[in-house]
Amino acid sequence: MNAVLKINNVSKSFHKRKVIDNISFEVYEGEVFGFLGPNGAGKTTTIKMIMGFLSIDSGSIDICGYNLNDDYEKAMAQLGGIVENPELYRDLSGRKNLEMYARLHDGVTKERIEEVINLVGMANRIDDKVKRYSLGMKQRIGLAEAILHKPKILILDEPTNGLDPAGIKALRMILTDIAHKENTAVIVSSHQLAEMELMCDRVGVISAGRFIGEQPIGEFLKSAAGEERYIFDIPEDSDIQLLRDLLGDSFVEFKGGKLTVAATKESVPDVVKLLCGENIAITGLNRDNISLEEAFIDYTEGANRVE
Amino acid sequence: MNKLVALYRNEMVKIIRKVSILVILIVLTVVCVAAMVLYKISSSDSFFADFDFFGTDGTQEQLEYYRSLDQSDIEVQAEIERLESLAKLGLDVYEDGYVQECAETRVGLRLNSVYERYLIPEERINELIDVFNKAIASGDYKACIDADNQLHDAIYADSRELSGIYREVNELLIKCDPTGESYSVFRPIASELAENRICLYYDDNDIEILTAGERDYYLDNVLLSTYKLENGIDGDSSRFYDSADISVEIGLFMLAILSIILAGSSISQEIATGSIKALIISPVKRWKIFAAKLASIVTVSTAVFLYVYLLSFGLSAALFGSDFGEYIYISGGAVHSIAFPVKLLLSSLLDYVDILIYIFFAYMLSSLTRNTALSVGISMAVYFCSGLISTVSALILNKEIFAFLPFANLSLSSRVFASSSDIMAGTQMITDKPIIFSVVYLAVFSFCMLFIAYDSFVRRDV
Repeated sequence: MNAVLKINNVSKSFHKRKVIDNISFEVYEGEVFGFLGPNGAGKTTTIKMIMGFLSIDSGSIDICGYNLNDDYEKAMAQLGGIVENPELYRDLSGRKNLEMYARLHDGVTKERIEEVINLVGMANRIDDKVKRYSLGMKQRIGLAEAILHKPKILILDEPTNGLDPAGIKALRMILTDIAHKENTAVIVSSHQLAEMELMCDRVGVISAGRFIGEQPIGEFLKSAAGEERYIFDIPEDSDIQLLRDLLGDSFVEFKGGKLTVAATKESVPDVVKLLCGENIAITGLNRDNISLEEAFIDYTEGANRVE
Repeated sequence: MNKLVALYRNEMVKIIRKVSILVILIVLTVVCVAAMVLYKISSSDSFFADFDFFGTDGTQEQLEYYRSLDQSDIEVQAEIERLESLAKLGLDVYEDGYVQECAETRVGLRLNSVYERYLIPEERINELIDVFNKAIASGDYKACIDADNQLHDAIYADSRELSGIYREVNELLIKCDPTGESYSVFRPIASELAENRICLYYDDNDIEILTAGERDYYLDNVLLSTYKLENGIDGDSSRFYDSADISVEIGLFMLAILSIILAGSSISQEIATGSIKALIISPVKRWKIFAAKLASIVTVSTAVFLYVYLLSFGLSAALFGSDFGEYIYISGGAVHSIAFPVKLLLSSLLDYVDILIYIFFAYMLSSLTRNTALSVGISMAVYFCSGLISTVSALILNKEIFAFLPFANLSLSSRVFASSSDIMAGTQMITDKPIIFSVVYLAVFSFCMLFIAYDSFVRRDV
């Protein structure tokens, strides 16, 4: 897979305080990459360096093979993004804002502008002045601007701020669509871990200016959890000692009719056979998903303890 | 190049869509038109026909005042004599005229024994007083001029050449002002001509030496004044010019306010609202954003300047007709003239240079401080107080140091087109440096300001 973004040993200091310390990671085309970290970890600073707001003290950033310092315009032509809330020109309509933005990029046709307006669902309000838009509408125009020129990388810093659940879901659908259909790498930095869990293919974690690691989301959750678990719904009055003896080390807990067992997908049928063998009725079976939040906290706390 | 043009186009759209710009333009138009119309009304002869601002009341008032003073005082007596002469002829003491001038000279003659103003024998003084009495009583301006000639004959009794200078100048004066009604226009020109010729005479005869610069100045002035009297033209203004000039002055004042607001808010406002983010993310280098913003401000400002000029020219021509008059000046030792509309355009362009300097200043502050209130506020304060700052600095500072302040090098139009009265009063001589020094200074100063603005915008984090 092609790496569209390469961060190489990048550091940044503000007033002699190092806020980004020698971070390196890559993002590949067509994936949704979640950028996680506690408050003040350096997520927004890293994103601002990629997008040209802040200078880099050392290291380099390559976008689609173009170095950000040496080939600024070519690098930035591959990038689209929204940092914090999108700020548009209030006295102009949404359409005028898009047209102004389009002028600065090569190859954006009128048809593409219409396509993007429809994609973000703003067709009926596009000619109103921006000062009459709600926050959600401004977010949509901001997103429209970001994808207008079909960038290879789309960066979104806290994109769900101020959106209602329907808006959040709509955004998730659009982003996943863009990533997988247009083969655009989408980098999302957010505190909405539930959304990240639903959206991301891979996650990268930053803490105290250092890059902790990057993994596909499934592996991330798995490695944080340490083992896979399954929950069986069985009669509440089942004998807990019998269950311990039956399952041995695989037994995790039994509470309120829920039996938690450490098992893999392949070994689940064996557990079912064991329980049925003892005439224990199984009324339900689910995988126990460790939440991204628990995994994240474990991950960062673990990394901090190591330090 | 395409990106630069696209950026420039975007910036123009942003400016033109601002409601505040439209409001300022409307106010500017209304005020300029009102000024020209008011000038038209006030300059028509019938306007003051029913007004009697002073009439003989001013004369009477002064008479009453002097009559209330100690009548044995010789000064009081001389003043009463003057005022009674004017009252007899129904003349206004507050208006200038040949008879009024004569009456004042007679006061000087009457008091010569006290103040010894004229080094003339006493019996000659009495003869002259007699001549002046007759001239004043007649109310005839030619008699007054003849009295003036006789006075100079007496003062320069030892030098026919010097008294001859006054006679020649007064002859020119009579030819160019046959009715004697244009005293306020031509009498000052004649007086200045005579005095300049006297100075040159003293220099020629090593009585008082002039510097090369002074000599050139007087020679040019003699040429100019002689030309004006020979052709019966003032050359400093015409009704068309006065009207258009008022309008342009008001228009440029409002343009300065508009330009400072545009330049002072340009970068700082975008950073404050966050709309700069879309620009920074775009695939354009920061210097192009910087250049496009500056170019759009200068374009709009220049367009408004042209609008002000055309509005002033057009309406003044409509109100006062196409007899524009001509501006007379000396170049290369010869008299030249240009039509007043051209002179107005040139002097306005030089005034516009000042506005450009303030645009660069406000733009620099906008980039440096990233605070619109600060950049617009400071720029406005400096603009409004520039006269005061300039005067105080000129008083406090050494002339050489002052010459290197921006204030000493602005106002190019009042230096290039200095009227003779400005020169005489020394009000335009705020710096001794030549014009070219100021031009180079302003170019370097502008470059420095723009470089600071550029460096601040391009290299600093947003």
